[in-house]
Amino acid sequence: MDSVLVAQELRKRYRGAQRKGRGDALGGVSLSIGRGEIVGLLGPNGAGKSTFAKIVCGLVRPTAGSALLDGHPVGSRAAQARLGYLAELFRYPPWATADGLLRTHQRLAGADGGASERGELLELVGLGDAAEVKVASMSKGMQQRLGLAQALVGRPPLVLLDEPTSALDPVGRAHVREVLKELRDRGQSVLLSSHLLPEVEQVADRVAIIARGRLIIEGRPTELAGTGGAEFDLASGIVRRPELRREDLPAEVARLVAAGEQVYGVRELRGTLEEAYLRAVEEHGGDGRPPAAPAGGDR
Amino acid sequence: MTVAALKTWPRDVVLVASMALAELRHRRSLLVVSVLTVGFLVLYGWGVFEILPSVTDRVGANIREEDTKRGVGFILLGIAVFATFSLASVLAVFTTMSTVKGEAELGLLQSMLVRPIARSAVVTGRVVAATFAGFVYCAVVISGASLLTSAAGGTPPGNLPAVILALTAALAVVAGFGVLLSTVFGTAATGMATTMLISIGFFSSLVRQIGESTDSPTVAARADLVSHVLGFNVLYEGALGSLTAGVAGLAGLVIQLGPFGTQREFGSDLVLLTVAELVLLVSAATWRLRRLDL
Ligand SMILES: Nc1ncnc2c1ncn2[C@@H]1O[C@H](COP(=O)(O)OP(=O)(O)OP(=O)(O)O)[C@@H](O)[C@H]1O
Ligand SMILES: [Mg+2]
Repeated sequence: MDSVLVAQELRKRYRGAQRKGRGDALGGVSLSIGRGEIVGLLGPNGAGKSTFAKIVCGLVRPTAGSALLDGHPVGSRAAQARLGYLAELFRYPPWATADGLLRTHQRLAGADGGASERGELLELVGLGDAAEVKVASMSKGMQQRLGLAQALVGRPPLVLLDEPTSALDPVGRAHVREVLKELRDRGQSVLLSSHLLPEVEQVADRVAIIARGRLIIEGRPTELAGTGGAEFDLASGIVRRPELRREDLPAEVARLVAAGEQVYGVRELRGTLEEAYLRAVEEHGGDGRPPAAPAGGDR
Repeated sequence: MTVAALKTWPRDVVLVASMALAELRHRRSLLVVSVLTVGFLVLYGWGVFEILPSVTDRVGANIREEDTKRGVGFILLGIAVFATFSLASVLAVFTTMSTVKGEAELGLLQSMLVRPIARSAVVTGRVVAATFAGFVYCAVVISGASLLTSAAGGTPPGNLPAVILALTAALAVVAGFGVLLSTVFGTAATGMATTMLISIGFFSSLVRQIGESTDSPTVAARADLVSHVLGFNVLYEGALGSLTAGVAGLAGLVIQLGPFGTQREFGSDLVLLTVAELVLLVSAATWRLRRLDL
Protein backbone atom coordinates (compact mmCIF):
# COMPACT_ATOMS: atom_id res chain seq x y z
CA MET A 1 0.00 0.00 0.00
CA ASP A 2 1.06 3.58 -0.67
CA SER A 3 2.37 4.96 2.63
CA VAL A 4 1.84 8.46 3.94
CA LEU A 5 4.19 7.99 6.84
CA VAL A 6 7.24 5.78 6.97
CA ALA A 7 9.02 5.85 10.31
CA GLN A 8 12.16 3.79 10.69
CA GLU A 9 13.90 2.94 13.92
CA LEU A 10 12.82 6.12 15.65
CA ARG A 11 14.65 6.54 18.87
CA LYS A 12 14.27 9.27 21.44
CA ARG A 13 16.15 9.87 24.61
CA TYR A 14 15.07 13.06 26.31
CA ARG A 15 17.76 15.29 27.67
CA GLY A 16 18.57 14.39 31.24
CA ALA A 17 16.90 10.98 30.93
CA GLN A 18 20.15 9.15 31.61
CA ARG A 19 20.89 11.24 34.69
CA LYS A 20 17.43 10.61 36.06
CA GLY A 21 17.85 6.90 35.56
CA ARG A 22 15.46 6.66 32.65
CA GLY A 23 16.17 5.01 29.37
CA ASP A 24 14.88 5.78 25.91
CA ALA A 25 11.37 7.17 25.66
CA LEU A 26 11.34 5.50 22.25
CA GLY A 27 13.70 2.63 21.61
CA GLY A 28 13.63 2.24 17.85
CA VAL A 29 10.09 2.22 16.55
CA SER A 30 9.33 1.52 12.91
CA LEU A 31 5.80 2.13 11.78
CA SER A 32 4.14 2.98 8.50
CA ILE A 33 0.75 4.43 7.85
CA GLY A 34 -0.96 3.80 4.56
CA ARG A 35 -2.99 6.36 2.66
CA GLY A 36 -6.53 6.42 3.95
CA GLU A 37 -5.64 4.16 6.83
CA ILE A 38 -6.58 4.63 10.47
CA VAL A 39 -3.85 3.34 12.74
CA GLY A 40 -4.49 3.05 16.45
CA LEU A 41 -1.48 3.64 18.68
CA LEU A 42 -1.88 1.93 22.00
CA GLY A 43 0.30 1.44 25.03
CA PRO A 44 0.57 2.01 28.76
CA ASN A 45 1.18 5.43 30.26
CA GLY A 46 4.68 6.56 29.48
CA ALA A 47 5.07 4.03 26.67
CA GLY A 48 6.09 6.69 24.17
CA LYS A 49 2.89 7.25 22.17
CA SER A 50 2.92 11.02 22.50
CA THR A 51 6.65 11.09 21.88
CA PHE A 52 6.10 9.25 18.60
CA ALA A 53 3.37 11.65 17.52
CA LYS A 54 5.45 14.68 18.52
CA ILE A 55 8.41 13.46 16.49
CA VAL A 56 6.16 13.07 13.47
CA CYS A 57 4.84 16.59 13.81
CA GLY A 58 8.26 18.10 14.44
CA LEU A 59 7.85 19.11 18.08
CA VAL A 60 10.42 16.63 19.33
CA ARG A 61 13.69 15.87 17.61
CA PRO A 62 14.46 12.17 17.32
CA THR A 63 17.77 11.01 18.76
CA ALA A 64 18.13 8.54 15.90
CA GLY A 65 16.11 7.07 13.07
CA SER A 66 14.14 8.71 10.34
CA ALA A 67 10.58 9.44 9.46
CA LEU A 68 9.26 10.60 6.12
CA LEU A 69 5.86 12.13 5.56
CA ASP A 70 4.90 11.86 1.90
CA GLY A 71 8.63 11.59 1.25
CA HIS A 72 9.56 14.70 3.24
CA PRO A 73 11.57 14.44 6.44
CA VAL A 74 9.42 15.13 9.48
CA GLY A 75 9.95 18.58 10.93
CA SER A 76 10.54 20.06 7.49
CA ARG A 77 8.25 22.72 6.19
CA ALA A 78 6.94 20.41 3.49
CA ALA A 79 6.12 17.73 6.06
CA GLN A 80 4.48 20.27 8.38
CA ALA A 81 2.27 21.38 5.51
CA ARG A 82 0.94 17.83 5.21
CA LEU A 83 -0.23 17.15 8.72
CA GLY A 84 -2.80 18.15 11.26
CA TYR A 85 -2.21 17.61 14.95
CA LEU A 86 -4.33 17.60 18.05
CA ALA A 87 -2.14 17.42 21.14
CA GLU A 88 -2.95 15.48 24.25
CA LEU A 89 -2.70 18.65 26.31
CA PHE A 90 -3.59 21.78 24.45
CA ARG A 91 -5.06 25.17 25.00
CA TYR A 92 -6.28 27.83 22.65
CA PRO A 93 -6.40 31.55 23.36
CA PRO A 94 -9.46 32.10 25.55
CA TRP A 95 -10.63 35.13 23.60
CA ALA A 96 -10.62 33.32 20.23
CA THR A 97 -13.95 32.26 18.78
CA ALA A 98 -14.28 28.85 17.16
CA ASP A 99 -14.41 30.47 13.74
CA GLY A 100 -11.57 32.86 14.55
CA LEU A 101 -9.31 30.05 15.70
CA LEU A 102 -9.92 28.09 12.53
CA ARG A 103 -9.24 31.22 10.49
CA THR A 104 -5.91 31.67 12.24
CA HIS A 105 -5.01 28.08 11.51
CA GLN A 106 -6.05 28.39 7.89
CA ARG A 107 -3.57 31.24 7.63
CA LEU A 108 -0.87 29.33 9.50
CA ALA A 109 -1.39 26.27 7.32
CA GLY A 110 -1.66 28.28 4.13
CA ALA A 111 -5.09 26.71 3.56
CA ASP A 112 -7.41 28.58 1.25
CA GLY A 113 -10.69 26.92 2.19
CA GLY A 114 -12.16 30.17 3.47
CA ALA A 115 -15.39 30.50 5.39
CA SER A 116 -16.96 27.48 3.72
CA GLU A 117 -14.20 25.16 4.97
CA ARG A 118 -14.51 26.60 8.47
CA GLY A 119 -18.25 26.13 8.47
CA GLU A 120 -17.98 22.57 7.20
CA LEU A 121 -15.36 21.65 9.78
CA LEU A 122 -17.36 23.08 12.66
CA GLU A 123 -20.41 21.26 11.38
CA LEU A 124 -18.38 18.06 11.07
CA VAL A 125 -17.26 18.12 14.70
CA GLY A 126 -20.67 19.14 15.99
CA LEU A 127 -19.91 22.79 16.67
CA GLY A 128 -22.06 24.11 13.85
CA ASP A 129 -23.94 26.41 16.21
CA ALA A 130 -20.88 27.53 18.11
CA ALA A 131 -18.92 29.41 15.44
CA GLU A 132 -18.98 32.64 17.43
CA VAL A 133 -18.56 31.07 20.86
CA LYS A 134 -15.32 31.99 22.59
CA VAL A 135 -12.92 29.31 23.78
CA ALA A 136 -13.17 30.77 27.29
CA SER A 137 -16.81 29.80 27.51
CA MET A 138 -16.47 26.35 25.96
CA SER A 139 -16.58 23.14 27.95
CA LYS A 140 -13.51 20.91 27.75
CA GLY A 141 -15.36 18.63 25.38
CA MET A 142 -16.25 21.51 23.08
CA GLN A 143 -12.62 22.59 23.10
CA GLN A 144 -11.58 19.09 22.13
CA ARG A 145 -14.03 19.11 19.25
CA LEU A 146 -12.64 22.46 18.18
CA GLY A 147 -9.16 20.99 18.45
CA LEU A 148 -10.21 18.21 16.12
CA ALA A 149 -11.58 20.71 13.61
CA GLN A 150 -8.32 22.65 13.90
CA ALA A 151 -6.35 19.49 13.07
CA LEU A 152 -8.42 19.00 9.93
CA VAL A 153 -7.86 22.48 8.50
CA GLY A 154 -6.48 22.32 4.98
CA ARG A 155 -7.30 18.61 4.54
CA PRO A 156 -3.90 17.30 5.57
CA PRO A 157 -2.97 13.83 4.27
CA LEU A 158 -2.02 12.79 7.81
CA VAL A 159 -3.95 13.64 10.96
CA LEU A 160 -2.29 12.93 14.30
CA LEU A 161 -4.72 12.71 17.17
CA ASP A 162 -3.32 12.21 20.65
CA GLU A 163 -6.17 11.02 22.86
CA PRO A 164 -8.72 13.15 21.02
CA THR A 165 -11.77 11.85 22.86
CA SER A 166 -10.51 11.95 26.44
CA ALA A 167 -12.94 14.75 27.34
CA LEU A 168 -15.87 13.62 25.23
CA ASP A 169 -19.12 12.03 26.36
CA PRO A 170 -20.15 8.70 24.79
CA VAL A 171 -22.19 10.41 22.09
CA GLY A 172 -19.27 12.67 21.31
CA ARG A 173 -16.97 9.68 21.04
CA ALA A 174 -19.28 7.88 18.69
CA HIS A 175 -19.45 11.07 16.67
CA VAL A 176 -15.66 11.29 16.45
CA ARG A 177 -15.56 7.70 15.21
CA GLU A 178 -17.85 8.71 12.38
CA VAL A 179 -15.62 11.67 11.62
CA LEU A 180 -12.59 9.39 11.45
CA LYS A 181 -14.36 7.04 9.08
CA GLU A 182 -15.24 9.98 6.91
CA LEU A 183 -11.60 11.03 6.82
CA ARG A 184 -10.67 7.55 5.72
CA ASP A 185 -13.24 7.71 2.94
CA ARG A 186 -11.66 10.94 1.76
CA GLY A 187 -8.26 9.26 1.65
CA GLN A 188 -6.84 11.01 4.71
CA SER A 189 -4.81 8.93 7.14
CA VAL A 190 -5.14 9.03 10.89
CA LEU A 191 -2.81 8.12 13.71
CA LEU A 192 -5.06 7.73 16.72
CA SER A 193 -3.42 7.43 20.10
CA SER A 194 -5.86 6.32 22.74
CA HIS A 195 -6.43 4.34 25.90
CA LEU A 196 -10.00 3.56 24.92
CA LEU A 197 -9.50 0.13 23.43
CA PRO A 198 -13.08 -0.67 22.41
CA GLU A 199 -13.16 2.60 20.54
CA VAL A 200 -9.91 1.92 18.72
CA GLU A 201 -11.10 -1.58 17.95
CA GLN A 202 -14.21 -0.20 16.28
CA VAL A 203 -12.52 2.30 14.06
CA ALA A 204 -8.87 1.38 13.44
CA ASP A 205 -7.77 -0.53 10.38
CA ARG A 206 -4.59 -1.47 12.16
CA VAL A 207 -3.29 -1.09 15.66
CA ALA A 208 0.24 -0.83 16.98
CA ILE A 209 0.93 -1.42 20.62
CA ILE A 210 4.04 0.07 22.14
CA ALA A 211 5.37 -0.57 25.60
CA ARG A 212 8.49 0.89 27.14
CA GLY A 213 9.32 2.62 23.90
CA ARG A 214 9.16 -0.49 21.75
CA LEU A 215 6.64 -1.68 19.23
CA ILE A 216 5.53 -4.98 20.66
CA ILE A 217 2.70 -5.98 18.41
CA GLU A 218 1.03 -4.72 15.28
CA GLY A 219 -1.86 -5.92 13.17
CA ARG A 220 -5.56 -5.69 12.35
CA PRO A 221 -7.68 -5.42 15.47
CA THR A 222 -9.61 -8.59 14.58
CA GLU A 223 -6.38 -10.49 14.00
CA LEU A 224 -4.92 -9.36 17.28
CA ALA A 225 -8.09 -9.97 19.19
CA GLY A 226 -8.28 -13.45 17.68
CA THR A 227 -10.86 -15.87 18.99
CA GLY A 228 -11.67 -16.13 22.61
CA GLY A 229 -12.45 -19.86 22.55
CA ALA A 230 -15.91 -21.35 22.74
CA GLU A 231 -18.80 -21.84 25.13
CA PHE A 232 -20.66 -25.15 25.38
CA ASP A 233 -24.15 -25.33 26.79
CA LEU A 234 -24.18 -28.74 28.42
CA ALA A 235 -26.57 -30.51 30.79
CA SER A 236 -24.10 -29.73 33.56
CA GLY A 237 -24.17 -26.00 32.72
CA ILE A 238 -22.14 -23.59 30.62
CA VAL A 239 -18.57 -24.68 30.02
CA ARG A 240 -16.02 -22.26 28.67
CA ARG A 241 -13.01 -23.45 26.70
CA PRO A 242 -10.82 -20.42 25.88
CA GLU A 243 -8.12 -22.47 24.16
CA LEU A 244 -10.35 -23.72 21.34
CA ARG A 245 -10.41 -22.13 17.92
CA ARG A 246 -13.21 -22.16 15.41
CA GLU A 247 -11.81 -25.08 13.42
CA ASP A 248 -11.59 -27.17 16.58
CA LEU A 249 -15.31 -26.92 17.33
CA PRO A 250 -16.85 -29.77 15.20
CA ALA A 251 -14.34 -32.29 16.56
CA GLU A 252 -14.91 -31.10 20.10
CA VAL A 253 -18.68 -31.41 19.74
CA ALA A 254 -18.24 -34.93 18.36
CA ARG A 255 -15.98 -35.82 21.28
CA LEU A 256 -18.46 -34.48 23.83
CA VAL A 257 -21.35 -36.36 22.23
CA ALA A 258 -19.29 -39.53 22.08
CA ALA A 259 -18.53 -39.06 25.77
CA GLY A 260 -22.27 -39.06 26.44
CA GLU A 261 -22.72 -35.29 27.03
CA GLN A 262 -25.95 -33.57 26.05
CA VAL A 263 -24.87 -30.61 23.91
CA TYR A 264 -27.62 -27.94 23.83
CA GLY A 265 -25.56 -25.32 22.09
CA VAL A 266 -22.11 -24.15 21.02
CA ARG A 267 -21.04 -20.53 20.74
CA GLU A 268 -17.80 -19.28 19.33
CA LEU A 269 -16.43 -16.44 21.48
CA ARG A 270 -14.64 -13.53 19.96
CA GLY A 271 -11.62 -12.16 21.74
CA THR A 272 -11.40 -8.48 22.41
CA LEU A 273 -8.60 -6.11 21.63
CA GLU A 274 -8.45 -5.38 25.31
CA GLU A 275 -7.59 -9.00 26.10
CA ALA A 276 -4.96 -9.05 23.41
CA TYR A 277 -3.57 -5.77 24.70
CA LEU A 278 -3.39 -6.97 28.28
CA ARG A 279 -1.68 -10.18 27.21
CA ALA A 280 0.85 -8.41 25.03
CA VAL A 281 1.69 -5.74 27.54
CA GLU A 282 1.95 -8.30 30.32
CA GLU A 283 4.35 -10.41 28.27
CA HIS A 284 6.59 -7.46 27.63
CA GLY A 285 6.66 -6.31 31.20
CA GLY A 286 5.16 -3.02 30.08
CA ASP A 287 3.49 -2.10 33.31
CA GLY A 288 3.45 1.56 32.57
CA ARG A 289 6.49 2.39 34.63
CA PRO A 290 9.07 4.41 32.81
CA PRO A 291 11.73 2.19 31.28
CA ALA A 292 14.83 1.73 33.39
CA ALA A 293 18.22 2.78 32.13
CA PRO A 294 20.52 -0.09 31.17
CA ALA A 295 22.95 0.46 34.02
CA GLY A 296 23.00 2.33 37.29
CA GLY A 297 19.38 3.17 36.82
CA ASP A 298 18.29 2.59 40.38
CA ARG A 299 19.74 5.71 41.87
CA MET B 1 16.52 28.03 4.07
CA THR B 2 15.10 27.27 0.67
CA VAL B 3 14.02 29.87 -1.86
CA ALA B 4 10.38 29.05 -1.23
CA ALA B 5 10.88 29.54 2.51
CA LEU B 6 12.58 32.88 1.91
CA LYS B 7 9.53 34.01 -0.01
CA THR B 8 7.08 33.05 2.67
CA TRP B 9 9.23 34.16 5.60
CA PRO B 10 8.10 37.80 5.67
CA ARG B 11 4.49 36.66 5.46
CA ASP B 12 5.05 34.26 8.34
CA VAL B 13 6.64 36.98 10.45
CA VAL B 14 3.73 39.33 9.81
CA LEU B 15 1.27 36.55 10.66
CA VAL B 16 2.99 35.72 13.95
CA ALA B 17 3.32 39.41 14.80
CA SER B 18 -0.35 40.05 14.10
CA MET B 19 -1.26 37.13 16.36
CA ALA B 20 0.90 38.57 19.13
CA LEU B 21 -0.67 42.01 18.70
CA ALA B 22 -4.14 40.47 18.75
CA GLU B 23 -3.22 38.85 22.03
CA LEU B 24 -2.07 42.18 23.41
CA ARG B 25 -5.37 43.71 22.39
CA HIS B 26 -7.51 40.91 23.77
CA ARG B 27 -5.66 40.66 27.03
CA ARG B 28 -6.59 44.30 27.55
CA SER B 29 -2.94 45.08 28.23
CA LEU B 30 -3.25 48.01 25.86
CA LEU B 31 -6.16 49.40 27.83
CA VAL B 32 -4.21 49.25 31.08
CA VAL B 33 -1.14 50.78 29.47
CA SER B 34 -3.20 53.54 27.83
CA VAL B 35 -4.97 54.52 31.04
CA LEU B 36 -1.73 54.66 33.01
CA THR B 37 0.02 56.57 30.24
CA VAL B 38 -2.72 59.19 30.09
CA GLY B 39 -2.15 59.49 33.83
CA PHE B 40 1.54 60.03 33.23
CA LEU B 41 0.94 62.67 30.56
CA VAL B 42 -1.50 64.53 32.81
CA LEU B 43 1.10 64.60 35.58
CA TYR B 44 3.80 65.63 33.12
CA GLY B 45 1.63 68.40 31.71
CA TRP B 46 0.84 69.66 35.17
CA GLY B 47 4.56 69.60 36.00
CA VAL B 48 5.77 71.52 32.94
CA PHE B 49 3.04 74.15 33.30
CA GLU B 50 3.96 74.60 36.96
CA ILE B 51 7.70 74.83 36.35
CA LEU B 52 8.43 76.39 32.95
CA PRO B 53 6.41 79.65 33.02
CA SER B 54 7.96 80.73 36.33
CA VAL B 55 11.40 79.22 35.90
CA THR B 56 13.40 82.44 35.39
CA ASP B 57 12.18 83.94 38.65
CA ARG B 58 13.77 81.07 40.51
CA VAL B 59 16.99 80.57 38.59
CA GLY B 60 18.05 84.18 38.80
CA ALA B 61 18.85 86.88 36.31
CA ASN B 62 22.45 86.21 35.27
CA ILE B 63 21.45 83.66 32.59
CA ARG B 64 19.38 84.64 29.61
CA GLU B 65 15.73 83.74 30.20
CA GLU B 66 15.51 81.94 26.86
CA ASP B 67 18.46 79.66 27.67
CA THR B 68 17.10 78.83 31.08
CA LYS B 69 13.73 77.84 29.71
CA ARG B 70 15.39 75.74 27.08
CA GLY B 71 17.62 74.00 29.56
CA VAL B 72 14.87 73.25 32.03
CA GLY B 73 12.56 72.23 29.19
CA PHE B 74 15.13 69.70 28.00
CA ILE B 75 15.57 68.32 31.48
CA LEU B 76 11.81 67.80 31.64
CA LEU B 77 11.83 66.18 28.19
CA GLY B 78 14.71 63.99 29.37
CA ILE B 79 12.48 62.84 32.20
CA ALA B 80 9.75 62.13 29.68
CA VAL B 81 12.13 60.04 27.57
CA PHE B 82 13.21 58.13 30.65
CA ALA B 83 9.61 57.55 31.70
CA THR B 84 8.58 56.52 28.19
CA PHE B 85 11.40 54.02 27.98
CA SER B 86 10.54 52.58 31.39
CA LEU B 87 6.83 52.32 30.63
CA ALA B 88 7.31 50.98 27.13
CA SER B 89 9.86 48.42 28.25
CA VAL B 90 7.17 46.99 30.53
CA LEU B 91 5.09 46.56 27.39
CA ALA B 92 8.01 44.95 25.55
CA VAL B 93 8.71 42.59 28.43
CA PHE B 94 5.10 41.52 28.72
CA THR B 95 4.71 41.01 24.98
CA THR B 96 7.68 38.66 24.82
CA MET B 97 8.15 36.95 28.17
CA SER B 98 5.94 33.96 27.44
CA THR B 99 6.92 33.53 23.78
CA VAL B 100 8.43 30.06 23.97
CA LYS B 101 8.56 28.17 27.25
CA GLY B 102 5.66 30.00 28.86
CA GLU B 103 3.33 29.32 25.97
CA ALA B 104 4.61 25.80 25.48
CA GLU B 105 3.93 24.99 29.12
CA LEU B 106 0.35 26.13 28.65
CA GLY B 107 0.01 24.08 25.46
CA LEU B 108 -0.60 27.21 23.40
CA LEU B 109 2.55 27.15 21.30
CA GLN B 110 2.51 23.63 19.91
CA SER B 111 -0.45 24.05 17.59
CA MET B 112 1.39 26.93 15.94
CA LEU B 113 4.77 25.19 15.75
CA VAL B 114 3.39 22.17 13.91
CA ARG B 115 2.29 24.46 11.10
CA PRO B 116 4.59 25.18 8.15
CA ILE B 117 6.02 28.30 9.77
CA ALA B 118 9.76 28.80 10.19
CA ARG B 119 10.90 28.80 13.81
CA SER B 120 12.87 31.94 13.07
CA ALA B 121 9.62 33.58 11.96
CA VAL B 122 7.95 32.61 15.25
CA VAL B 123 10.74 34.31 17.17
CA THR B 124 11.08 37.30 14.86
CA GLY B 125 7.33 37.85 14.74
CA ARG B 126 7.20 38.38 18.48
CA VAL B 127 10.06 40.86 18.40
CA VAL B 128 8.37 42.67 15.53
CA ALA B 129 5.08 42.83 17.45
CA ALA B 130 6.75 44.20 20.56
CA THR B 131 8.72 46.69 18.47
CA PHE B 132 5.63 47.87 16.64
CA ALA B 133 3.74 48.34 19.91
CA GLY B 134 6.78 50.15 21.33
CA PHE B 135 7.02 52.42 18.31
CA VAL B 136 3.37 53.46 18.48
CA TYR B 137 3.67 53.98 22.20
CA CYS B 138 6.82 56.09 22.00
CA ALA B 139 5.52 58.11 19.09
CA VAL B 140 2.38 59.02 20.99
CA VAL B 141 3.95 59.68 24.39
CA ILE B 142 7.07 61.53 23.23
CA SER B 143 5.08 63.64 20.79
CA GLY B 144 2.56 64.37 23.54
CA ALA B 145 5.28 65.32 26.00
CA SER B 146 7.06 67.56 23.52
CA LEU B 147 3.80 69.31 22.62
CA LEU B 148 3.10 69.93 26.30
CA THR B 149 6.64 71.20 26.83
CA SER B 150 6.46 73.59 23.89
CA ALA B 151 3.05 74.83 24.97
CA ALA B 152 4.47 75.63 28.38
CA GLY B 153 7.25 77.69 26.84
CA GLY B 154 10.03 75.12 26.36
CA THR B 155 11.72 74.16 23.09
CA PRO B 156 10.69 71.04 21.15
CA PRO B 157 13.27 68.24 20.78
CA GLY B 158 16.08 68.84 18.36
CA ASN B 159 15.21 65.76 16.36
CA LEU B 160 11.86 64.29 17.41
CA PRO B 161 11.78 61.40 14.86
CA ALA B 162 15.28 60.33 15.94
CA VAL B 163 14.21 60.31 19.60
CA ILE B 164 11.29 58.06 18.75
CA LEU B 165 13.38 55.79 16.52
CA ALA B 166 16.19 55.45 19.05
CA LEU B 167 13.70 54.54 21.77
CA THR B 168 11.98 52.08 19.43
CA ALA B 169 15.34 50.50 18.68
CA ALA B 170 16.04 50.22 22.41
CA LEU B 171 12.67 48.51 22.89
CA ALA B 172 13.33 46.13 20.00
CA VAL B 173 16.52 45.03 21.73
CA VAL B 174 14.66 44.61 25.04
CA ALA B 175 12.12 42.46 23.16
CA GLY B 176 14.98 40.45 21.66
CA PHE B 177 16.29 39.70 25.14
CA GLY B 178 12.77 38.81 26.27
CA VAL B 179 12.28 36.32 23.45
CA LEU B 180 15.70 34.76 23.93
CA LEU B 181 15.22 34.41 27.68
CA SER B 182 11.78 32.90 27.07
CA THR B 183 13.48 29.97 25.36
CA VAL B 184 15.28 29.24 28.61
CA PHE B 185 12.85 30.23 31.35
CA GLY B 186 9.15 30.16 32.00
CA THR B 187 7.02 33.29 31.92
CA ALA B 188 7.67 34.73 35.37
CA ALA B 189 11.42 34.05 35.39
CA THR B 190 11.78 35.55 31.92
CA GLY B 191 9.85 38.66 32.97
CA MET B 192 12.02 39.09 36.03
CA ALA B 193 15.27 38.41 34.20
CA THR B 194 14.48 40.88 31.42
CA THR B 195 13.41 43.57 33.87
CA MET B 196 16.60 43.05 35.84
CA LEU B 197 18.68 43.34 32.68
CA ILE B 198 17.07 46.72 32.09
CA SER B 199 18.06 47.78 35.59
CA ILE B 200 21.58 46.51 35.03
CA GLY B 201 21.70 48.61 31.86
CA PHE B 202 20.89 51.78 33.79
CA PHE B 203 23.30 50.78 36.50
CA SER B 204 26.14 50.26 34.02
CA SER B 205 25.45 53.72 32.66
CA LEU B 206 25.67 55.18 36.13
CA VAL B 207 28.86 53.32 36.90
CA ARG B 208 30.38 54.63 33.68
CA GLN B 209 29.53 58.19 34.67
CA ILE B 210 31.04 57.65 38.10
CA GLY B 211 34.11 56.08 36.51
CA GLU B 212 34.49 59.04 34.18
CA SER B 213 34.03 61.67 36.85
CA THR B 214 36.44 59.95 39.26
CA ASP B 215 39.11 59.44 36.63
CA SER B 216 38.87 55.64 36.66
CA PRO B 217 39.13 54.77 32.98
CA THR B 218 39.06 50.99 33.56
CA VAL B 219 35.79 51.17 35.46
CA ALA B 220 34.32 53.47 32.86
CA ALA B 221 35.47 51.25 29.98
CA ARG B 222 34.08 48.08 31.54
CA ALA B 223 30.77 49.73 32.36
CA ASP B 224 30.65 51.01 28.80
CA LEU B 225 31.24 47.49 27.51
CA VAL B 226 28.34 46.19 29.57
CA SER B 227 26.17 48.99 28.19
CA HIS B 228 27.10 48.04 24.66
CA VAL B 229 26.52 44.33 25.21
CA LEU B 230 23.07 45.07 26.55
CA GLY B 231 22.57 47.54 23.75
CA PHE B 232 19.23 49.02 24.72
CA ASN B 233 20.83 51.31 27.24
CA VAL B 234 23.15 52.79 24.67
CA LEU B 235 20.17 53.32 22.38
CA TYR B 236 18.27 55.02 25.17
CA GLU B 237 21.21 57.37 25.51
CA GLY B 238 20.97 57.86 21.77
CA ALA B 239 17.38 59.01 22.29
CA LEU B 240 18.59 61.53 24.89
CA GLY B 241 21.23 62.68 22.43
CA SER B 242 18.63 63.24 19.71
CA LEU B 243 16.66 65.36 22.15
CA THR B 244 19.32 68.07 22.12
CA ALA B 245 20.72 67.32 18.67
CA GLY B 246 21.69 70.60 17.05
CA VAL B 247 21.04 72.57 20.21
CA ALA B 248 24.22 74.34 21.22
CA GLY B 249 25.41 75.62 24.54
CA LEU B 250 23.81 75.36 27.89
CA ALA B 251 20.96 73.07 27.05
CA GLY B 252 23.21 70.23 25.92
CA LEU B 253 25.33 70.60 29.01
CA VAL B 254 22.39 70.35 31.36
CA ILE B 255 21.27 67.05 29.89
CA GLN B 256 24.79 65.70 29.98
CA LEU B 257 24.82 66.17 33.71
CA GLY B 258 21.34 64.83 34.20
CA PRO B 259 20.63 61.82 36.35
CA PHE B 260 19.15 59.66 33.61
CA GLY B 261 22.26 58.67 31.74
CA THR B 262 24.50 60.57 29.41
CA GLN B 263 23.61 61.29 25.85
CA ARG B 264 25.06 59.89 22.69
CA GLU B 265 24.64 60.72 19.10
CA PHE B 266 22.10 58.43 17.47
CA GLY B 267 24.01 57.78 14.29
CA SER B 268 24.87 54.95 11.97
CA ASP B 269 26.99 53.18 14.59
CA LEU B 270 23.97 52.84 16.88
CA VAL B 271 21.81 51.66 13.99
CA LEU B 272 24.46 49.05 13.29
CA LEU B 273 24.53 48.09 16.96
CA THR B 274 20.75 47.61 16.90
CA VAL B 275 20.84 45.42 13.84
CA ALA B 276 23.72 43.34 15.22
CA GLU B 277 22.00 42.89 18.60
CA LEU B 278 18.72 41.87 16.98
CA VAL B 279 20.33 39.43 14.58
CA LEU B 280 22.29 37.84 17.42
CA LEU B 281 19.35 37.65 19.83
CA VAL B 282 16.91 36.32 17.25
CA SER B 283 19.42 33.77 15.94
CA ALA B 284 20.19 32.53 19.43
CA ALA B 285 16.49 32.27 20.24
CA THR B 286 15.81 30.41 16.98
CA TRP B 287 18.67 28.02 17.68
CA ARG B 288 17.29 27.32 21.14
CA LEU B 289 13.75 26.88 19.84
CA ARG B 290 14.89 24.40 17.21
CA ARG B 291 16.54 22.27 19.85
CA LEU B 292 13.75 22.28 22.40
CA ASP B 293 11.55 19.23 22.83
CA LEU B 294 8.07 20.56 23.21
N1 LIG C 1 9.60 16.61 27.49
C1 LIG C 1 10.03 15.51 28.10
N2 LIG C 1 11.20 15.52 28.77
C2 LIG C 1 11.66 14.42 29.39
N3 LIG C 1 11.02 13.24 29.39
C3 LIG C 1 9.86 13.15 28.73
C4 LIG C 1 9.29 14.28 28.06
N4 LIG C 1 8.12 13.90 27.51
C5 LIG C 1 7.96 12.60 27.82
N5 LIG C 1 8.99 12.13 28.55
C6 LIG C 1 9.18 10.76 29.02
O1 LIG C 1 9.16 9.91 27.89
C7 LIG C 1 8.42 8.72 28.16
C8 LIG C 1 7.30 8.56 27.15
O2 LIG C 1 6.36 9.59 27.36
P1 LIG C 1 5.12 9.82 26.41
O3 LIG C 1 4.48 11.09 26.82
O4 LIG C 1 5.53 9.67 25.01
O5 LIG C 1 4.18 8.59 26.84
P2 LIG C 1 2.70 8.25 26.39
O6 LIG C 1 2.73 6.88 25.83
O7 LIG C 1 2.12 9.30 25.57
O8 LIG C 1 1.97 8.19 27.82
P3 LIG C 1 0.47 8.60 28.24
O9 LIG C 1 -0.39 7.45 27.89
O10 LIG C 1 0.58 8.76 29.72
O11 LIG C 1 0.11 9.83 27.53
C9 LIG C 1 7.96 8.84 29.60
O12 LIG C 1 8.86 8.11 30.40
C10 LIG C 1 8.05 10.30 29.90
O13 LIG C 1 8.35 10.51 31.25
MG1 LIG D 1 0.62 10.62 25.80
